[in-house]
Amino acid sequence: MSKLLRVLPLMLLVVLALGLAMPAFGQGFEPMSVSADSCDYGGAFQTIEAVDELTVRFVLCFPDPALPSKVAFSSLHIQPAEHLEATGGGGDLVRNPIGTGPYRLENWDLGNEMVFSRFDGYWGEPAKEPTLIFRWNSEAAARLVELQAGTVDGIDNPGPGDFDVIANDPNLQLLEREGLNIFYLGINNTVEPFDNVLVRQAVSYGIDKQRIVDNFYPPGSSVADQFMPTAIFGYTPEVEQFPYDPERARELLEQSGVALPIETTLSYRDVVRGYLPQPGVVAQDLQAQLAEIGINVTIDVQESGTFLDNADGGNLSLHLLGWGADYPDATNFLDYHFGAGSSAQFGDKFEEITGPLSAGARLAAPEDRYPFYIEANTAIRDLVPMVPIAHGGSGVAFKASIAGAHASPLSNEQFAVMEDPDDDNVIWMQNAEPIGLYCPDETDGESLRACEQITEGLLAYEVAGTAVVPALAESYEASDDLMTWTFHLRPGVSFHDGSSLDANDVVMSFLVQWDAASPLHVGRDGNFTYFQAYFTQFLNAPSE
Amino acid sequence: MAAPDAVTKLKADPFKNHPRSASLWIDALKNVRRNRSAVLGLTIIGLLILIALLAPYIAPYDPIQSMIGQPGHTGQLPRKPPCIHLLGCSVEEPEHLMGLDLNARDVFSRILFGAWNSLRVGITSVAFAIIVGSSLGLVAGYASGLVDNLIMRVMDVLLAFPSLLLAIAIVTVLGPGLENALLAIAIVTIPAYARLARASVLSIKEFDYITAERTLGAPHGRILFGHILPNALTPLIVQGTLSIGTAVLDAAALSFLGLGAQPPTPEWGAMLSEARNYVFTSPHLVFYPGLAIMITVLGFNLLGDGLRDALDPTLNRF
Repeated sequence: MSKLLRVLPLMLLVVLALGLAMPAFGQGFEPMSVSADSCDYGGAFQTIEAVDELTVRFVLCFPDPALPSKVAFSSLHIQPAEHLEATGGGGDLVRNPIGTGPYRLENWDLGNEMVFSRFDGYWGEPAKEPTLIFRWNSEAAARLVELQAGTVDGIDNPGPGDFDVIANDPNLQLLEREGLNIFYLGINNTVEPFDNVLVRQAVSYGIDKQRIVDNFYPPGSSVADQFMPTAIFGYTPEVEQFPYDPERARELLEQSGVALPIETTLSYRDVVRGYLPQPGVVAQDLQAQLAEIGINVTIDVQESGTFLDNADGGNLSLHLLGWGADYPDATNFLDYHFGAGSSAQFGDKFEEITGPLSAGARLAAPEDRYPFYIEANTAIRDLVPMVPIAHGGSGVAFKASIAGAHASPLSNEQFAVMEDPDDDNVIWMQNAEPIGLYCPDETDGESLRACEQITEGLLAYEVAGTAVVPALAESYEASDDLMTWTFHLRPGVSFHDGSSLDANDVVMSFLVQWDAASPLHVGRDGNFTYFQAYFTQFLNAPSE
Repeated sequence: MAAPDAVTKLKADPFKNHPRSASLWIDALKNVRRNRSAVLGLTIIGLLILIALLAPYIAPYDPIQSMIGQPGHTGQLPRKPPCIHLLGCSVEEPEHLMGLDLNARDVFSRILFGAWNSLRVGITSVAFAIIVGSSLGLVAGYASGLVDNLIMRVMDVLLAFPSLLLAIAIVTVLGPGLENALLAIAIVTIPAYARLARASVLSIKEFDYITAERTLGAPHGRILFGHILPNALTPLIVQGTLSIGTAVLDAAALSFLGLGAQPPTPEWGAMLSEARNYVFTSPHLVFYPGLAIMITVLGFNLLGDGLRDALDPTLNRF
């Protein structure tokens, strides 16, 4: 009897505990589904839904053959729905991302360094080294000195004059990065006198691109005759560029009837990128070239973040900027800059350009798409929203001992595959500090590279290449009309916070970007530039 | 005939056989000439002024003209090291005494033209600061009371800021540019002169000849500018000469930070700033502007020190 009395409370306790736990087990997966009332809002998505725990379906408003490439990009990486809710879609999210990647963020010592530690629960091959450290220095010479001194294991963008130094140093390895980028002089057509197309054409005729590439770019760079790099679909050799002809430029300025000389401002940010290795020097050379044809520019240097915001907001007249490929397709270059969803960087948009671009983006077969890109590239040449100048060859340099060192043509080097035989970490020095780590709301390559170590998307780009490979989704299929896309998630993937990946996390990660009315549509500055550029329009976008 | 003799004797200079004590300024000039460092300083500054004025005639090239595409110029031009025919550089190559800069412009011509900018900033800003600062100091010291308090407390506030920081703040508000940098440097130097002038006035205004002047009913303006100012001038001149050097350095610092001279204006500080990444690979880009700044500042400092010795009566070495 007494034995029974002793066991009974214990049994009761067990029953109680089970009773409390059961609802959690019993609680089934409640799939999220969000749909637009109709496709009239102008965006690409009609429905984003979780079919079951491991299946996500996107129903589009128009065919998008580039969707797999897009979902592999870091702006569409997946974070836990709970984390997005807990942070309110901004704030902490910018400093504290939670992903599924091989590294998780250990500590971001603002202004100093960023430390990543290996995520032991990673679904794929674990990172080779337990620690990854990002540092930054805007001076190419200073980065090289650090590499030579051995305080860092790899550096981005050695200075153009240092390529030979590195190649001849047996302790270092130089890896050249293909110039899948474009450096251009942006012209805002809402600022006088650049609202006159003749003036813009004069600028185009008045710039000696060959001189800039020959004198201020490293080996492997080439003159840009179009916005598209030659190696990417969308480059159309049929469209001949305007030649360098200062005489013609002066004639055009005269025809335009604008008072000469034109006084204006040329803005740039003093940061080195693969497409622009010497910003200040190139700016001064352009200043001298433009003065020759009667355009006097004052040079205006701005802080990187401010400059990008000003450029996107259409607040600059002439500006120097560039673009590196996120995925190898015309949509990544042309639609992002000149499409219907692009920013106000070049002022008002032209129907002649947006028309063929949106037509071309909706077709699957390259031979069907090609004529539209000829049309778009011709219109871009004639209307001159910008003058393409160079495709910058760039490179990365590592200590010779680092195994797995590579340069990615998309600038998203994966450090998880790198191994340092000398110690337990890989230390990488890039051009600048990441601005934020919630990459749906970042556009700067220095930020994106950091995100790409931490978070992952449904698909990914192969290491050191551009091909799309499975990541969080093991497989996907598209309907014949390319309107319905179904992704099958990899089972057993866990986030850095221990929670496991399900279809709702995917829906939520897309939804906070897609739905402008969502309380979680916050981000760092709330622009979600990539999403709008990729998918044209937000759901519930505030009317302008 | 005795009387006329006496008259003649009386009219004769009683100090005829003594060494005549000339005016303070002539004495000072003599002392300066005797002071080696002052003479050296004066020579350097004289040469610099000459260079600054004659730059358009003696510079071999246009300081903002890139050599790319110019006749005779081929190969990799940016950062080309100096080519001096006398030192064995091939005669076929165009001569560039100090090489070419990042934009392939002639460094020598830029240094020559830069002299004008540096001297202009140095001398104008200090002249402006002396005029404004000493006027404020004179008024404060002479008026005393509330006016004195008001002026000097404002000066104290200005002095409380680190000078370069204040200059940066002013330029940020006014917008970058050499003229604004000049103004900023002038403003941050004002308090030093105000204090100096006030201190002199406080001691001078107690002298008997000022009291006498007052008793005679002379207007304040005449007392202040006719009698006090000339006697308070010496320390201002010494301080002024010394701080031209500092002003040149400040202007270079502001340009280095991108707040002073705007491209493509040739300015030594800006030249240093553009080339700072190439100290090891192209030292000529950093060496020559650095040297130019050093020589200029040295010249003004030597002259300042010499003037201080020469104008200080307690240091007279007869």
